[in-house]
Formats: sequence, C-alpha cells, structure tokens
Amino acid sequence: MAGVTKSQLNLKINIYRIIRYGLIALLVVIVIIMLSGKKESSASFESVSAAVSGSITTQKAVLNSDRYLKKYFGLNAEEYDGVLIYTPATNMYANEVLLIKLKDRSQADAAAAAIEERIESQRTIFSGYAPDAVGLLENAVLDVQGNYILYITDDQADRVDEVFRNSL
Amino acid sequence: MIFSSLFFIFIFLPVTLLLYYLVPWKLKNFVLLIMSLIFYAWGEPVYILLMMFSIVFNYVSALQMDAYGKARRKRERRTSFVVTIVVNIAMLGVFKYYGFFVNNLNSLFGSSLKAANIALPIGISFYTFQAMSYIIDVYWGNVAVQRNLIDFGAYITMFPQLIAGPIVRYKDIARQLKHRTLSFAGISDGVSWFIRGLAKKVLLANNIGMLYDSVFAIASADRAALTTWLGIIAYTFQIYFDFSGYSDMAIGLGKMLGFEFVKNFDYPYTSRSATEFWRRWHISLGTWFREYVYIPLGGNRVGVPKHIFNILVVWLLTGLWHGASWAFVLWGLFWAVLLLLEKYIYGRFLEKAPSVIGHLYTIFAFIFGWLIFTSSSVKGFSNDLSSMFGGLQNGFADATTWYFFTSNLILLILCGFCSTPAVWRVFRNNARSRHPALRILSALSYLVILAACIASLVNASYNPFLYFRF
Repeated sequence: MAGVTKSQLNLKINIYRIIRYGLIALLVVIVIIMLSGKKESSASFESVSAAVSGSITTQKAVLNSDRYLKKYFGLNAEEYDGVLIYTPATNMYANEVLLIKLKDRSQADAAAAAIEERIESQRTIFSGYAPDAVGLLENAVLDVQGNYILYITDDQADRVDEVFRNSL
Repeated sequence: MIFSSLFFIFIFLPVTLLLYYLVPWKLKNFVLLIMSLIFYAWGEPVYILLMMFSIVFNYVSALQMDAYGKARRKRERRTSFVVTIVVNIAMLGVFKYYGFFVNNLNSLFGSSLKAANIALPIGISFYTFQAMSYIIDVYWGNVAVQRNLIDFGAYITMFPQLIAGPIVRYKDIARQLKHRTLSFAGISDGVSWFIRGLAKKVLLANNIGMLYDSVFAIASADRAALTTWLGIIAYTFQIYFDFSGYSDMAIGLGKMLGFEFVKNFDYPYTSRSATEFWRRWHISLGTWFREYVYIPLGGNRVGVPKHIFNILVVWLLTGLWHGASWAFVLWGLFWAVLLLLEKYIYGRFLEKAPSVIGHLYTIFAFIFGWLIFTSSSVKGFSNDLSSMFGGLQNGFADATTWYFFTSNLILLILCGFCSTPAVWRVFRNNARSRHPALRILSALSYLVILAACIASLVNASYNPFLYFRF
C-alpha cells in the first residue's frame, strides 16, 4: 500500500461503491423505461389486416399474394405470423402497402431494413421521371409497433397508419 | 455509419486522421474517443448512453477491485468481480435476449406475456465482450488496472472495431494505448489493408449477395435443388467476404492510427477439418471463448464426459452470442457435434486421408452450417434443407438454375480464388518486390481497386454489414 493509508483506501472503495450503485440504479431505470415502452399486441392478424385493408382506398395498389414479399422485399412470408401485401397496380405507380405480424420481436430490425432498402431502391427508380412518386416515397410511413410492422407509400398513408395503430 | 460508405471514406476518415495526426501524442486517445463516440452516435444516438454506462461502470469496477486487492479484502474483491460480470451479462441479456426469453416462456407455458420492442444496440455483443475481457484480466492479475478514463474509453469505443469486431482483448492492446508508433510504412500498410477489405465487401460480398437474395427470393417449395445449393454457396461467399472484409478494414484503420489488432480470419475456407476451420474463422471470438470460458471450465484436461460438456457449453454460448434465435443455438450445437466427432471418432482418419477428402468434408460442413445460420427460424431451415435434398418436386435443376449459374459463373470463380491466399500473395509479393516496376504495378492495382469500389458505392443502395446484427 505504498503511499496510500488504509483509511484513504477505504474512502476510495466507498466512493467506487457509491458510483457503482448509482450507475446500476441508472441502468435499472433506463431498462424499466424501455421495457414499459412499446409492447407486443395480442390483436389477431385477421383483425388488424381487416382494419388496414378496409382503410385502403387507392386504386393504384392491388392486393397480391404474399409471394410478392420475396420479390419486392427479399423476405420469406413463411417466417412471419401473417403478411398482407398490396403491390403497385402498374409500373407507373409507387403506391404499395405491407403489413407484417412478426413471430419474434428480433425479426423487426431485418424486416424494417428490408423495407427501407425497398423504399430507397424505388426512389432511385422513380427519381428523374416521376416526381410525384418520389414525393410519396419520401413521405412513406414505416411504423414498427411491437410485433407488427406497417409500411405504406400512398397519399393516405397517415390515415391508414392511424387505423393500424387503433387496431392493435 | 459504415466503412463502405462514401461519407465515411471521404469525410469522416480524412477529418479523423487529420485531427489525430495533428494533435500531440497526449491528446491522441482523446481525439480517438471523441471521434469514436461521434461514429457510434451517427447510427445509435440513444444507445450511446448505454455504451457510456459500460465504459464508466467497468472502469470504476476495475478500480474498486484493485482497491480491494490492495486492502487485502479478497472476498469483497471477488464479490465486486462477480457483480460486474453479472451486470455486463444482464445488460446484454436485456437488450439482446429479452424478447426471445419472453416468447419462449409463452410457448412453454402458454402464457401471454408481452415483450417490449427494444431494438438491438449495434455492437453491444462486441463491446460488452471487450469490457468483460478487461474485467476478467484485471481480476486474474494478467493486466494492471487502467487509471485513465480517456484511455479506457478509447479502448472500448475505438471506432475501427467498435461495431463488428475483431474483439480486441484488453491485454493485447494495453501497452499500445500508452505507447505506439506512427510511421509512413505502417500507415501505407493500413491503407492497403483497408482497400483490400473494402474490395472484399463492395466488389465481392455485395455482388455475390445479390445471387443469394435472388435465389432466396423464390419460395423454397418452388426452387430446384441446385438453385438452393447455388444460393447457399453464394451466402457462404457473401458472409466470408462481408465479415472478413470488415475485419480487414478494421485492422487497416487500426494500423493508420498506430494500433496492431489481432488477425480475425486466416483463409478459413481452405481448412481440412472443422477444428481447423474454427482456428481460422472469427479468431477473436474463438479466442475469447477459449480463454474466458473453455479453459476456466477445464478445457480438454478433464475426463471425456466433462470435456463433452465443456464443448457443448462453449458452442451453445457461441451460437447464442450470434443472436437470440433457436437457429443460432442449432448452428452452435452443429459445430460442437462436428468438433467432438473429430476429436473422438474420425479426426485421425481426416489427418491421414488425402487432403481432398478433408477439404470436401469441411466445405460441406461450413455450407451446411451457413444454411442453419442464415435461417431465421428452425422451420425455414427445414424447408431449405428439404429443397436441397429431399423435396425434388421441382427437379434437380431448371432454367432458373442455369440462368443464375451462367450469369454468376465468373463471380463465383473469382470468389473461390479470393478465398485462398493465392491472390493476396501476388499483391504482397509485388508490393515487396525489388523491381520498382512491380511495386508501381502494386500501387496502381490498389488505386484501380479503390476506384472500382467507389464507382460501385456511388450507384449502390444502403448495404450494411451482415455482422452488424450481432
């Protein structure tokens, strides 16, 4: 204990102890705040998809088979609890809707990243000749709510998102 | 922020290096810490608080253990150590495994507990393991406690290896935090490592990844067997060039800053056994588990049942380290079984057999391993497996197979070549040649590769590294 007395050492130990307790308490508070945040919804996929479908009024996107999830987003429909997909009615439109019910919350990041990639690639395609479509894509809604994800590119996106949130 | 982005290459890196080179040695770690925090905050503005917690908590905990040691209060020192490790693991557990845990509880007991949606903080597995390596080594007396918070913060946050490794153990870098050198040769070596890594990611991984995406964009029930094989071979190359490319860039950036990081990959696809493969793949993670879990459990200096138990524990943890999913657990156990079979059943045979047998066996093993790894669920894995072997309702090959094969043949051959040391050996020999013409050729070839990468990045959409999800 060169140069440090026992009482100095004990003082140091006590200071470290207080800092550690303080930090652990802080971490616990952060974790509690985060855990009490967005919870998984127990609403059935049928009820949420019915609500979302019912709120879609555009003719520029059409309901399609969940196989298009692979084609457009590179995701496997069979790995999710439910998929509802509306694809652009023609190549001239950017309007599309995707609703996913996740099996596992850990799927959220990969699904959201795939959707963001799709938005970016659509923006690249439409930029230069379809400013309206680019505008829609820039205002696209990507809403992750626990075990549900909604993505919508449409001028009614905010309204559909509100219906989606209320249905959870 | 990712290394393979134009913003990083043309703005963040030059500004960081300029500041770093201009300030005196005393301030270099401070600059490194600040720039690393900015680098992390770019993508994780909220979770930077978590990383700062990790820095301060582990820093203070090590000081407390040190003080207990000096006061000869062994029991309290041990308690302090255990609490520190528990807090680190708990932090990882909450942010990485909480949802997985709750979902499994619900499946087991039919309960309907709700899990909060917490995004995984980028790099948490890497920096938590680095912090734990420091705490364990301080407790074991392998390293002296770090009294400088800036130096310790720089170690945890160092941007080259912060978000996808390699996992740098504190004892490997403790001396360098205080004494390191910057030289023109070291910096230019770093630049060449960085360009090689960038090329692996941008030119090879991203392009072969498109083949994988295209193949797996077809539902497994609609794929011919050979198409699935092509897809998983593409993924095999993608994950290697993606991850080893990141590691090469990290090592290169480290060299530019005067650090020497440990090698993380050593041409794993040239291995002749699973045991050798794991000595060459993600070396820093393997070393971490060997040193801090396997050896303390007794390693192989125990009876056979205990050794089997040790291997299973290490590989269960290795699987879980990669993510909260049963597919990763299955993947870890798959490797554990292979390693045990090699140790106790056919390892000797593999050693004596012609090398082609060992190579074919290992290639088959890692391709199969990646099939498990890339499945986000056990069900997805069984569907793909059935498409490769059993479910030949779409035949062995079809027009799609041949289209994918012919349009990617050159890329596949290139990836095969670049998985061996041959290509890099040519680069290295040219760079070290006595003939000035060859050295100029080497420098020019790096410039051409860099230009090709940048041209590719200009047109590319966002493409993060695969290992960011861990």
